Amino acid sequence: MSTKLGMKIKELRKNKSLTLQALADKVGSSKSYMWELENKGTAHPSALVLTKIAKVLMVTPEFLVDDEQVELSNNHANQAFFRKYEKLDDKTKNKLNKFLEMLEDED
Amino acid sequence: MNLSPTRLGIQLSKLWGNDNLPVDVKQVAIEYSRQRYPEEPITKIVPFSEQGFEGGLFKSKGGWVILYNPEATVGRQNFTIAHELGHYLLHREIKVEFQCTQKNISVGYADDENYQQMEREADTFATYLLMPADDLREQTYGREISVELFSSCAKRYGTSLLAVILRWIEITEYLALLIVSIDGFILWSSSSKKALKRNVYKRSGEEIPPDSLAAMVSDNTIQTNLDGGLRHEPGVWFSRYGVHEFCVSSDKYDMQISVLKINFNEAPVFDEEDEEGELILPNF
Repeated sequence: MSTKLGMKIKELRKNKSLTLQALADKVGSSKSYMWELENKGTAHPSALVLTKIAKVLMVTPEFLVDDEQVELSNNHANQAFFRKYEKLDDKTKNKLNKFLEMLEDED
Repeated sequence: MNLSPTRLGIQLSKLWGNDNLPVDVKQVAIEYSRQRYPEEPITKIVPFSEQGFEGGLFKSKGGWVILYNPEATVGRQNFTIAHELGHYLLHREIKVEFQCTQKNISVGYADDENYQQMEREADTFATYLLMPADDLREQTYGREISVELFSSCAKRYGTSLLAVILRWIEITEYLALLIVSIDGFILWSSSSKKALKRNVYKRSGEEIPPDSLAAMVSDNTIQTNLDGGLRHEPGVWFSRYGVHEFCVSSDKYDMQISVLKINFNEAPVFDEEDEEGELILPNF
């Protein structure tokens, strides 16, 4: 399962029209490792590799690793099952919260 | 709630029957929950359109609510609703235990092992409910495999092509594999029982062969998806076996879905005893 880090790298790479091979070459790593970073949760890159990737993609390493997530309000978070919830951004989670409250009010 | 996801899926699928497919999963969710658990039924199934959101099951006044994303393909929507129905039937009581034992647990995080397990169970339930094995066998038995055949089955069950192919891999008598690849590497794969028995599998993270149909589709070397597939000599996908490969590209998810049918009859016959090695399950 891809991670937030992986999704960020992939999106930035595609925006720059870089192939996996091109990214790997610039970072000085292998194509298969770049693929793993983007697509598998099992890859744990070193700070050095992250810094290099961030430089190529013209962002800060902090931006890549920042994984902050806003949780749903206790009420809903404790009563809910999500599909792929971890992939939602904070804005969407907030909207979801409001929508659920609205549904409750309807009744 | 002591039925397995498989048994429960089959049970509800039998209630619906094979004469009126696809299963109207909304109707099943509402009616079955109202009859079976009148004290806390599923009261509403509501679209919620946000990018990145697939679906959810929420406790609400007087029962439970299922949300799904109406922007997804119809097949995906059906599967999501069936998946959430699975959570409702299998897990809503377990959840209460979570609340008691660990106050701050958030079931939404994928690295939580229990959560992963529940997700798998909900998927299994949805699979068995929407795509009954006996019917899929009937639809495919003795017929030439093609993208078109899988597409017509997907339409029959109201599911995605990927869901149908995965189900077919589970029940087929062929030596066959499903390979899902992204950017030229295998994301995950699944082998049929017969293929596993002969240790024919592919690992996640392996690069796909440059001569494969999946690679050509991925590189845009060819524009069409060749409904009849492409036949490979031994040495392209597997050193010992020739392969008939079918491939469809999912633009939305940016991935290639390949079906590999091993030409086993053309391959040299090996001693069964030697082939029984350690079973290595595909990595999802």
